[in-house]
Amino acid sequence: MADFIVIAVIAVLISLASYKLWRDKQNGVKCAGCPQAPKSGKPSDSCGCQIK
Amino acid sequence: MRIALAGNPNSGKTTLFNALTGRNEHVGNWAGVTVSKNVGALKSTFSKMHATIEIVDLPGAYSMSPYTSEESITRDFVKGEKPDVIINIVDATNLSRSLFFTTQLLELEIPVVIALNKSDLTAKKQNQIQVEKLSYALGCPIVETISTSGSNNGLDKLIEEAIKRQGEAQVAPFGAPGLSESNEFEAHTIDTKRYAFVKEVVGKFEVKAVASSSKNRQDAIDGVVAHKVLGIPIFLLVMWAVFSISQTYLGPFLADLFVGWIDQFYAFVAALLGESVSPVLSALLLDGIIGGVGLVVGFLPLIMVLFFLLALLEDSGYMSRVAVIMDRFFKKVGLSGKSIIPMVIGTGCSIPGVMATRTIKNERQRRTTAMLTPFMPCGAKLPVIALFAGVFFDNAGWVGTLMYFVGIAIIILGAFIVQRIAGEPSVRSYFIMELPEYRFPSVKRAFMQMLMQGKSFVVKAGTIILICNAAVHIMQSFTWQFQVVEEGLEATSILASLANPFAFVLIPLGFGAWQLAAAAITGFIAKENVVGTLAVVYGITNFIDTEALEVVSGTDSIAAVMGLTSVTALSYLMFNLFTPPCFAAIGAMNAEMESRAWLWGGIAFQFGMGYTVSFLVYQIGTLITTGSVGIGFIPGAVFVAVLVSLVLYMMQRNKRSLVANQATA
Amino acid sequence: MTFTSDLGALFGGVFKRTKGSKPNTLAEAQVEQSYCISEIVTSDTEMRAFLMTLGCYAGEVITLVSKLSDTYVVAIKDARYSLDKDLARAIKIEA
Repeated sequence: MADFIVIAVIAVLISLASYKLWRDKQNGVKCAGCPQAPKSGKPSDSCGCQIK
Repeated sequence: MRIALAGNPNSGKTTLFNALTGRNEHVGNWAGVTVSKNVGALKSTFSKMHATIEIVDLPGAYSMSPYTSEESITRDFVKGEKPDVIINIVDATNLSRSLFFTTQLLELEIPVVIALNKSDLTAKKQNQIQVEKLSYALGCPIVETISTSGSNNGLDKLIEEAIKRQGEAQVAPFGAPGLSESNEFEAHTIDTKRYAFVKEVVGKFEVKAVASSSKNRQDAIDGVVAHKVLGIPIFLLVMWAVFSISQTYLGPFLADLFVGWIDQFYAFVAALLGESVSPVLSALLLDGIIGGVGLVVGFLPLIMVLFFLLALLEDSGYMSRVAVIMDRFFKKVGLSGKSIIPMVIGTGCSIPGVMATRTIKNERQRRTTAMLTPFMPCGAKLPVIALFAGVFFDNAGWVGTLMYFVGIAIIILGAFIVQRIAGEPSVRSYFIMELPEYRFPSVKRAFMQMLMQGKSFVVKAGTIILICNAAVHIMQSFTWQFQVVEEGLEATSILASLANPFAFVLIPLGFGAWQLAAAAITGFIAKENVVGTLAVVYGITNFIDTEALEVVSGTDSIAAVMGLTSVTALSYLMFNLFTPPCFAAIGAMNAEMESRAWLWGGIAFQFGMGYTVSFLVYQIGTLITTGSVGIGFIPGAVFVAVLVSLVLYMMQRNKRSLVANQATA
Repeated sequence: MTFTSDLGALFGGVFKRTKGSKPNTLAEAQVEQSYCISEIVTSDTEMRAFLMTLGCYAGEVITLVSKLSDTYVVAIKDARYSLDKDLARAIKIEA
C-alpha cells in the first residue's frame, strides 16, 4: 500500500516538472526551467533567460 | 494597444520596462545590455483601460541605420510592426546626441511621447531644460521621468500621455526634402542637417552648468581603473573578490545552513517511508529525487551570492572600462575589448553571454567570442566545482580560481587559433565603446536580481534536474530485462550499458568508469546534472551533512566510492567544465553563428579542448605523482596528436591562401 | 651662397621639428584640448556612418579627455567614448 503512495508522489512530481517544461517550450523559452518567458510568440528572438 | 520603448543604449528603457510591467529583465550600466526585444503587459495600476496594453522593450539604437545586429531589431520592429505609440526614452544628460534618433523616430508617422529620463541627474548637475518649449519645437509631448525611482517617477503621466496620443497624427519637425537616404552622400547631408537642427534646438532650450567635455572626477577614476599598468591587476582583484566571497567565504557559510535544512527534510521523509516501502521505490524518492536535487540545490547560496555581486558590478558602470582594459590584449589574438563583456556575463550563464555577442560588429570576432564564451565557468558549473573542491581538495580556494584562469587561458589560445585559421590580418576592425557615468550600485536592484535568479535556479532544479535524476536512477536500478539490479552487479544496469561505450573513450583521461561517463553526458542537458547524477550513481546522499563539504571522514569515503585520486578528480572536473556547454547554450551559439560550419567547428573545438586539457592534466599529473604515465596513454596521445596536427594544418592552409590572395591582389 | 642658404634651411627645419608639429589626427592631439574634426579617413563606410550617429563628423567638435596607453578617451556631445589608436588615426582634426 505504501508503495503505491510513493509511486503516486513520484508520478506527481514528474508530471508537474514535465508540465512546467512543456509550458516553457510553448512560450518559446529555451533555457530549461527559465521563468521569464517571452510572450511575443517569437522564440527565435529572445531566450528571456534571466539567469545572467 | 502596443507601445514600443525606443532610445539610445543605456538610456533607461529596460529599467522603465521593468517598472511598467513588473518584470525583471536584465539591466546593467553599459551600452548593449538588452540585445533582444522583451514584451510584457502593462501593470494594471498604470492604466484604467480594460484592454491590455503591451509594452515592447527594444535594444538601444543610436539611429535608424543599424551598425550592429541588435540595433536592427529596433529598426525592424518600429518600421515593420508599426506599434501604436512610441515612447522615446531620452537621457536628459545627453540631449545633444539623443535627439538625433528622436528626429528620426518623429518621421515615422507614429505618435511619439518623449520620456526625458534621468531627470534626477540633470537636477543634480544643475542643468536646466525648458521642457515645454522643447516639446513645442519637436512637436510631441515630453514627460520628465526617473525610471530608477520607486515613487514620484513620472510614469503615470507618461502612460497617460501615451494613451492619449493613440491614433493621433505625428508631424516631423525636421525635414530634408529632395534628398534621399539611399544615396550615401545625400544621407550624410541629411544627417548633418539633422544634427544642425538638434544643435539649434538644444542651444535654445538647454543650459548646462558645467561643460561636459571638461575633465571631472569620473575621468580621474578612469585614469586609475583603466591605467596602462594598474588596469589589469585591478580587474583581476575585483574578479577574485567576487568569486572568493561567493565561493569561499559568504557562499559556503550560507550553504551550510541551507544544506542542514535539506538534510533534515531527507531524514523526515526517510522516517516516513520507513520499512514498509520497497527499497527500489524508497531509493528512487529519497536518493534519486530528494537526494540528487537536494545536493544541487544545496549550492544555491553560492550561486545567489555570485549573482548579487555581479549585479553590483554591472550597475556601477565598470563593465565598459573592463572592455577598454582588455582591448589591448585581446587585439593581440584578433579580438577586441568588446569580447570580454559576453565572457563576464557568461560567468553567470553562457546563454545571455553568447547572445551579448550581437554587439560585436566584426563577424569573425563575434563568432569566435560566441564559441569561446562557454569556456568561462557558468553558474551551473559552480556546483560541480564546489563539489570537487570540497571532496578532493579540502575546500581549497585555489581550485575555483584555477578553473577560471584555465578558462581564460583556453579563451586566449582559442582566439589565437581561430584567428590563424579564419582570420585576415588586413581587415581592420575598430574599437569604440561608450563610457557611461559611474554610479553607486543599487543594492536593492542587485538584491532583486539575485532573488529572481535564485528562483530561476530552483525552478530549473525542480524540473529538468528532477526529471534527469529520476530517469538516471531508474536506469541505474534496472536491467534491460526490467529486473532490479543486484548489489554489487551495478554494471548490468541499463545506465551502465548505455554509458560504457563512452566510458571507453574516456579511459586515457583517467576516468573510464561508466558512472562518470554517464554523469558527464547528463551534463549536456544541464551542467548541474553532473552533480545530481554522481549523487545518484554513487549513492552519496549521506554526504549531505550539516558539516557539508568539510567533513573529513565523509569526503574520504566519497573519494573512495568514486574511485578517483586528486589527479583524476581534477582531470574529470576540467573535462566537464571545458567541453561543449549544455544544449541550451549550444542552441544560443547556433543562433549567433549563423553558419553550420562555424557551429560544428565550434563544438568540435570545445570537445577537442576539453579532451586535450583533461588528457594532459591526467597524464602529466600521474607522471608527477607516481613517476609513470597513466592508463591509455598511447591511444590518448595519438588522438590528441591528430587533433593538434589538424589544427596546425588548417592554420597553414589559411596562411597559404592569404599569401596567394596577396600575390594576386 | 647656396651653402649658407642650405644651412639656413637645415637649421630652420630643425627648429620647426623641435617646436612640435601641429596635430594632424586625433592620435597626435593634446590631452584636455578640443578640436574641430576636418575629416574621417577610412574605407569602412559603416564605421563612418556609425560615428555620424554619435555626432562625430566633419565640422563637429571633439575633445581628447585623456590618453591611456593606446586608448583615447574622447568627449563628443555630452558623452564619453573610448577609441583605439586605429580609430584615433582615422579622425583628422584642424589644429
